[in-house]
Amino acid sequence: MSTINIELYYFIMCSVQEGEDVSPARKEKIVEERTCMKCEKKAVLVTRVNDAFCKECFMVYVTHKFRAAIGKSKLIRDGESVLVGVSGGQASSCLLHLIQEGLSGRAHKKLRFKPGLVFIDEGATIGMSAEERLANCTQVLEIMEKTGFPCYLKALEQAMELEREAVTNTADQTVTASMTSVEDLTKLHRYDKAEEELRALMDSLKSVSAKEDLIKSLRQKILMDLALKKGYSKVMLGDCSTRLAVRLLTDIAQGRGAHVAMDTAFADNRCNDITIVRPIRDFSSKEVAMFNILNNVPSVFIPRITTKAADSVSIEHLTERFVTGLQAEYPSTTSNIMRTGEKLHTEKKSSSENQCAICQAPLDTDVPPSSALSAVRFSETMSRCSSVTLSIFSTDTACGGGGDKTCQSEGQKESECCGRGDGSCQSKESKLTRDEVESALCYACRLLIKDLGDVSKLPKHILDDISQRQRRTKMKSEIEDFLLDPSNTPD
Amino acid sequence: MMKTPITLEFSGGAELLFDKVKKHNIELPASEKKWTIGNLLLYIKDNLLKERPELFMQGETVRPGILVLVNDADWELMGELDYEIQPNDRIVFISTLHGG
Repeated sequence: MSTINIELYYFIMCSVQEGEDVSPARKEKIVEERTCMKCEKKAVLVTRVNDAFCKECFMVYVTHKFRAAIGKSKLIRDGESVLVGVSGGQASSCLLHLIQEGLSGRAHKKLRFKPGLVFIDEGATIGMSAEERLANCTQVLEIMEKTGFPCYLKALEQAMELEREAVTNTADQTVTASMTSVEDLTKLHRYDKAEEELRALMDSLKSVSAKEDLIKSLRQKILMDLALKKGYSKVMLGDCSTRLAVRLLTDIAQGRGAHVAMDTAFADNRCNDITIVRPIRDFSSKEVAMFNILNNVPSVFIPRITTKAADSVSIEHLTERFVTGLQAEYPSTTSNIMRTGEKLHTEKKSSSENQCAICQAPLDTDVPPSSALSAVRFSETMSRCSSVTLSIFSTDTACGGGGDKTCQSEGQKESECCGRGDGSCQSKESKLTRDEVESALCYACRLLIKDLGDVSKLPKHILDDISQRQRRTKMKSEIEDFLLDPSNTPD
Repeated sequence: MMKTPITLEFSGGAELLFDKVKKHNIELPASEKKWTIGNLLLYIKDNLLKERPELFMQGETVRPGILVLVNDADWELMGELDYEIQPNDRIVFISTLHGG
């Protein structure tokens, strides 16, 4: 680990320009009384490598950073409906407070969007008792309701039951100010079946990294679904810079390098209709904590899957340990990581068929046969099946190997589909094979389901999406001969 | 020699290591050496920390990711481990880590 530390440290710290001094600023011990860098009053906090701020100047600095992030992007229009994801934690509570301040009459040039708040109860992922879940939800809802904005309460297991909606014109939908009261919490018990399905799915995933990844994707699905159904055109999340720096490195480690830009940018437009925005992406976790203390912002700590776990329990947990440890010695760590991430760019694919069925990101797996991905798959297939035949290497399923129990491919099942391919087919669905599912997933999501024995444990709407794509592909290949090839048409 | 009364607060998940009790009013026993945050940490480790010391401390200091505030000010401005504790100080430990 220490060798990796040093190498990564140089990668992160070193400036690219020639001739510059490459050693980063190590944190200096402060010996004398520091005064605010702006107004010379007594300082309360040190941030941004070595700048000291007093309380008032810090508030101005923070508010300005928040407003600038939103204003510079020119993405959030006046009167727009924005769904704010509230986890109850410090960062989202800070975001909530900033939104309230920004929208209030006191603000200089006040913000003009219309927020709605949503809290997703994830207690099912750690087997939390119903009482504890109720207690947590009550606490968070109380904080949310004080703001006066419309509030929604969701449970993560609802992601197992989502219905696939056809994309409708969302611009005409208006948001009704429906307040979810504390009494509505009894609805928590309605999702017992979904909760069991979620538990079964989580239990089938062996590694904690895979579980975390799945939780992240399910959370996103719920947010997008709610935004679509209620007419919100933006989803606002409280991801601070420290969290995003960890996310960036974790993504690379998990095979999501292609999506790093999307996961950490201010605006994430993986879903065509709804943009995810991250207005506090420039705030370090220290600034967030200080802001909350100085403004008495309440937050609720809710344990998650990696709480109190050993360092190496998951990739993200380990990365967090690494980044925070490095940040303590070298205060420019997270800003360097974020700046590097900003230079990356994800190409946006046009149709939804080119999106990963689980994480919605553009597929990085539809590459020609000479790609690195094909090479990886080839070696994987070779090492699994004991007897080798060249016919193994195809993009279809059948494994020619002899009797090795580790070979996981299954034979193609004949589907009874009428071949329409537009979703109107009413014939009984045959089970999707693992290869069919994988064809609709990005590289990292394929790794996610690697340990999943039975792919039919995935949420229904994902399986339906994949089935539809399969039918479309089949239909397309059937009518291919009848399609005019543009390059061959006689003029 | 008098005892030094202080208030300790734990939040952001750090309270999980202290039986979920967020606020502690304690009196530091009289001692010949002055009470600094460094000594205080050892005192906390020996007397208040209920489990998993490695999640709160790393060596002599707090684990990276735990913010320490002395009377609502960053401890980096007060000398960190060398700050001398005064009676009725309020020292807050906030965990900014994901999983507590």
